[in-house]
Amino acid sequence: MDLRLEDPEEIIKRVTPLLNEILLKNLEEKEGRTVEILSEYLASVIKRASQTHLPELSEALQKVIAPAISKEIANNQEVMIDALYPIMGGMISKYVTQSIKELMEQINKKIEQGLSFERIKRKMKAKLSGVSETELLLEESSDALISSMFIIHKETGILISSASLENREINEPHLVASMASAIKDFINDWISRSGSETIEEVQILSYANATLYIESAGSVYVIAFLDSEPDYELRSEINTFFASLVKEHGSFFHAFEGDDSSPETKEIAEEMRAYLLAQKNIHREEKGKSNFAKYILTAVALAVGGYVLYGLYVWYGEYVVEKRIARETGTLVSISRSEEKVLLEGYVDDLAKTKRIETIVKEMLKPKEIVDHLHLDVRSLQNLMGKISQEKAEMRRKLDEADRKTEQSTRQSEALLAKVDSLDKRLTQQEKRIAAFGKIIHMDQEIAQKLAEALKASPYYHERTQELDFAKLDLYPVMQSSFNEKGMRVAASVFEKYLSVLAPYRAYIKSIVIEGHSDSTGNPKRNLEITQKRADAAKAYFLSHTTLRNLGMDRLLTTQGVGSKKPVLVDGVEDKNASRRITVHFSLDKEKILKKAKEVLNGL
Amino acid sequence: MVSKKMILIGDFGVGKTSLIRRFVDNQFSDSYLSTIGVKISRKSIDVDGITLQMLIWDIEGGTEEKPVNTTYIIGAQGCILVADLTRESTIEHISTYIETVEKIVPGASYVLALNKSDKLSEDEQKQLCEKTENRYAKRIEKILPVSAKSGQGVEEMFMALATQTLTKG
Repeated sequence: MDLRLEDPEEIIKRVTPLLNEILLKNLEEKEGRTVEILSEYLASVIKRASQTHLPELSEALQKVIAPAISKEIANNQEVMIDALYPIMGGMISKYVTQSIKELMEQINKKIEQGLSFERIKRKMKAKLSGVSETELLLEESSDALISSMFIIHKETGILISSASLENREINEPHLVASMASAIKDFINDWISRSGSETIEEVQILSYANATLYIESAGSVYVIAFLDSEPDYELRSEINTFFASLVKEHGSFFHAFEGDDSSPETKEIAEEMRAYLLAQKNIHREEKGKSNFAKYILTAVALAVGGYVLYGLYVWYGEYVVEKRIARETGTLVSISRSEEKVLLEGYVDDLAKTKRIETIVKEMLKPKEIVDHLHLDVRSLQNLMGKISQEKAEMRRKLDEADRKTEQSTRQSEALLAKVDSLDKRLTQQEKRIAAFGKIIHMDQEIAQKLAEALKASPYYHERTQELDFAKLDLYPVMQSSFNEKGMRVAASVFEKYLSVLAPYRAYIKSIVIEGHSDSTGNPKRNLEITQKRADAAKAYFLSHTTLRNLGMDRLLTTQGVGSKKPVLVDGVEDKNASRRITVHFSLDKEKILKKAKEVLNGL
Repeated sequence: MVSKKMILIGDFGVGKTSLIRRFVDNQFSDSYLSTIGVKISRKSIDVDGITLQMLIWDIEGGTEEKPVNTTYIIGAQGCILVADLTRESTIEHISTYIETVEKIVPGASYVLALNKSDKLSEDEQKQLCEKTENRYAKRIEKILPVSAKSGQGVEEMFMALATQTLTKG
């Protein structure tokens, strides 16, 4: 073959059909030698061609490579899967992740459409923990911890390698691996026999609290032992890890013949243990977050619950009061409590009911303050206005009537008062008259009393007779009318006191009589003359030596000589010196007194 | 340690499970046998200084109506065929089992356990064994009478299979 190496395009054009033919022939005959020889040269040629003529090269090789891969897969399925799984696993994982995202979006839409207590709870938890609501939704079904992991030879069910968390080791791992393999085979066999169009391998086995997650690839499968079903995310993680194991140890897995003592087995176990520990730490962190969120959520739920209960309690308390108010007053009232205030809102048809409502509220809720926002409704207000107008008119009428009555009463009262005054006056007058009458009719006693008081120390006044008797003054010598001056002065002094007592009564005094007396010796006629003189002389003296005139009583003063008719007897024997004397007495004008008394009586 | 998958196969009632009980270190509950048609037991034995862990899959006895689940045969490296010396038909059926296993795991090692030897005299045993050997010797490396009841031949049987399996690699 003549090849011009300086013209790569020409080489490609000429080599490609030839290469095609050789490769196809080689595949048919299963002889790799030709390819082995050519590949040494072809590598550099293809590399160069791919840089300059990639489309043409791709088109040319496609015809060869596609059938070759199909054939290789058909003949060496497990080897190809081992080779492809790490790549395909990643792609599948990526695809599954994308699918999960789409699923999450769909779930999100569902969540948005639905409203339930669980949703609210989840929403709150998402807010508090910072984890999306969808993830929480998935978490609700899975909060799984991987405790052990087995790599099992698919064909024989023999355990290649295993790892467990501390204290979570599985007894008889080889036996368990085989049994799990048997169960998985049984189920897969059952599924394939059930006529399912798409043959799907079992991935989840659950028993009591244990869950086995199974993922196959080529000649091995992994079993992850979990405490609950893994979510999509965890499955994806397990698959990714498993893919990394297959990628790294695929050839070892494929060649495995039951000997687990090789260093690679231990290496795989170490890798799995490290993965389990990492997962455990993530799980713990997430659990911690989740627990924190749960605590917060619980606290919030408790607070909300408490608040709701308190609200219900308050609402029920208010409801009971509202009910009672409605029953007792027929009024619908809205009650709301704030701190120690109670707010009343509503419309009443009668303001009088407000007081009753407030009484009920005070009695039942015992608030410190009641804020009254009760209003009269319009219809009631109109009724009330009409009623008030009527009542006002009625009140006006009553008031006018009362005014009239009051005026009348006032007049009557005034008249009565006048009468009372008049009666008082009359009574006073009567009393005065009665007093005056008493005074008049008892005038003699009054005078006697006053004389006694004024002259009680005087030896010349005789209380019994109310007379002045100057016998002791030796006024006159025998048979003479001239008097002892000294004695007469004494007599005049006494007489003046006597008159001063009588002066107020002078209107009713008939006369004040000065009598002249003589002893029993001598001529009686002569004695009469002498005693008259003695009396006259005494009067003259008294008039000139007393205030008699000033008192206006001089006209009442009279004189009379009585001779020896009234001698002074001492133990039955006449004291002649003493008998020669003057005496004074008065007499009341009884007619005048009677007349006055009559006048007073007539005035009553 | 080398682990190998062994299967125990034979007609219903030939005493497979009894043989297993007599031999193994540990096993799953018998209930699995009736539930999923297989029960797995483990036995570790020492063969020329090599510890061989035999994972013995006791496959539910086949009947005409219900053949054994071939899924469980996949990957088996050794096969204990079990027949009942007191029922010749069970010995007859061994060829069918070999055929079935061979299709799935060509080149597997076989031993044939003729169970319930305690129920026959030595002569009867010998006679039947010879007859069976004549028929199956070409394919089966070891044929021996065993008794799950007395333990006769049980250990020997498993040891023979282990040796064969390890020899084949």
